[in-house]
Amino acid sequence: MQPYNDIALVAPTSLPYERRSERSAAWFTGTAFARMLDRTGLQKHDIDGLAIASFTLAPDSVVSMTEYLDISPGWLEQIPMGGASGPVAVRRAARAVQAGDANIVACIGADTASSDTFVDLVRNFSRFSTDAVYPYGAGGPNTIFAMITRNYMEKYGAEREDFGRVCIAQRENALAAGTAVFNKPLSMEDYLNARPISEPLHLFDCVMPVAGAEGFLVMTVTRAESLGLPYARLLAAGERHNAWSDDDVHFRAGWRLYRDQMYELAQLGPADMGFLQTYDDYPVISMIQMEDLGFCEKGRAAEFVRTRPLTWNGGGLPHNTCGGQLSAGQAGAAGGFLGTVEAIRQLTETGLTNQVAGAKAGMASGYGMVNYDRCLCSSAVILGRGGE
Amino acid sequence: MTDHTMPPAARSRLWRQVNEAAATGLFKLQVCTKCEKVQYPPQEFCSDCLADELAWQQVSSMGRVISWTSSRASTNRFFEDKFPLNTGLVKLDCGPVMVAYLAASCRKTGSRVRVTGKPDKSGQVVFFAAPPGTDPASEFNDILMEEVKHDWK
Repeated sequence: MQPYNDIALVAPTSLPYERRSERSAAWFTGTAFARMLDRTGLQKHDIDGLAIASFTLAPDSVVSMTEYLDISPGWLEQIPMGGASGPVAVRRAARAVQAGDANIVACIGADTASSDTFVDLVRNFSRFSTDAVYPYGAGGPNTIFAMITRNYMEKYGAEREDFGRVCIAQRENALAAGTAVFNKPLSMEDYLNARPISEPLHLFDCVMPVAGAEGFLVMTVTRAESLGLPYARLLAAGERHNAWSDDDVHFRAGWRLYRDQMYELAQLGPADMGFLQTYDDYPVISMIQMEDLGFCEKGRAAEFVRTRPLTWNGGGLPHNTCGGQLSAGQAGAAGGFLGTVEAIRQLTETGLTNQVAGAKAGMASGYGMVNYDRCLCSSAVILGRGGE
Repeated sequence: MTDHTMPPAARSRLWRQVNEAAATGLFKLQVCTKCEKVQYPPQEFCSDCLADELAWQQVSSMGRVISWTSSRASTNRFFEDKFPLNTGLVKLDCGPVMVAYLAASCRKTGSRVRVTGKPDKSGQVVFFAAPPGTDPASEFNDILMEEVKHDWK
């Protein structure tokens, strides 16, 4: 793995999520793009690279967006990796900038949510899913992740309360951030008494589909500094797909295969991470990331979340500091950008209402695309505060 | 508009071969003629040796429940009055992991099951996992299974 020298991540941007929207994914994409220009003072023609992730942009694509925005980039990328797309966008864009193929890349995850977008997405998600999963109750990812969660509980002794701890801490973070769709405190009693969705999953284990967009810009550190823009430095990035395909039930994904290389490249370890932003489609998946990214031993995340505060100001491991998708809702592929954008925000801004004190570096990870009985894509980045 | 009085009918073109195989009354899955790997869900080449010569052959229908769930929510209205739906991950003795409807008595990890493929009201095969040696039709007696059992015998 070659180092990512001199790569800056700039202008972390989140559009407020909406439970339902009549607007298209193109509107969310374009509005996030415009917001990033506003924040940086850049002109649209300064952006010569565009990377997009979206489930609902079809039949349009990143190509259509160049016409809608009337820009003429020399580099385009569309990332069909759902929840893994944020760190993957960082990785793709960083190499393009490093190689000189683009100067400033806008990376955007955006999706809309009408009354039927999620229903359609579940029905047509993949061929394996259409043939061999959807006909069994059309539960969408809940069905598969219920079975993944049960296996994890039986294999490692995790209890519902452990998942509850993850969800409750994230809700506290969401309340501090003040941006989430779910904006009421969550008690353990509320969590445990919630209605069953697909046992052992209950209501607060599941994310609500919403509309929204997340984005950031990628450029060289030299350029960010010359423009006077606050930035986070890219220290390491990795991705791995369809790892451990022989596992009968999913209990780990590809992170384990590149995490050591990432820490080595960053010259940092898990203890140096001021925060961890995991992909939280279900709390068990966040716990699996804590394990596979090296924050605790494999199978020990339940013990970890029992003893480590996960709130933004709890003195433990600040985890999903804006509340994550479990509080904010899942804005399609923007959900794959949420953690990365929050990581950049924590490292570039000051005075956030959920600001992690003293964080000089942090990690964001992604996970996505349940093709059959598990998600296939994993990704992660380590970022550091600019100028340090 | 989707017809909510019928189970989901959309499948890939390959699924026709699943329907045809089930119509023989035998439990048949794709087997690679080069390396003998059993493939499920169906695809057009062997995921192991990549040969595109897969034959529908009778394989063992026995397996073991490796996880399960009882679902009480769906994105398709057909299922709304049929909860809870018991679904399992079945590790087949012949290799693949199959998502299948699960008999209530098999809602325990490690349960031995026999899997049967039967067409539902839409004419598409769905798979049922029930205790070996039982009449699978008798194991599925809730509303959903009444919909599906119309031609079980």
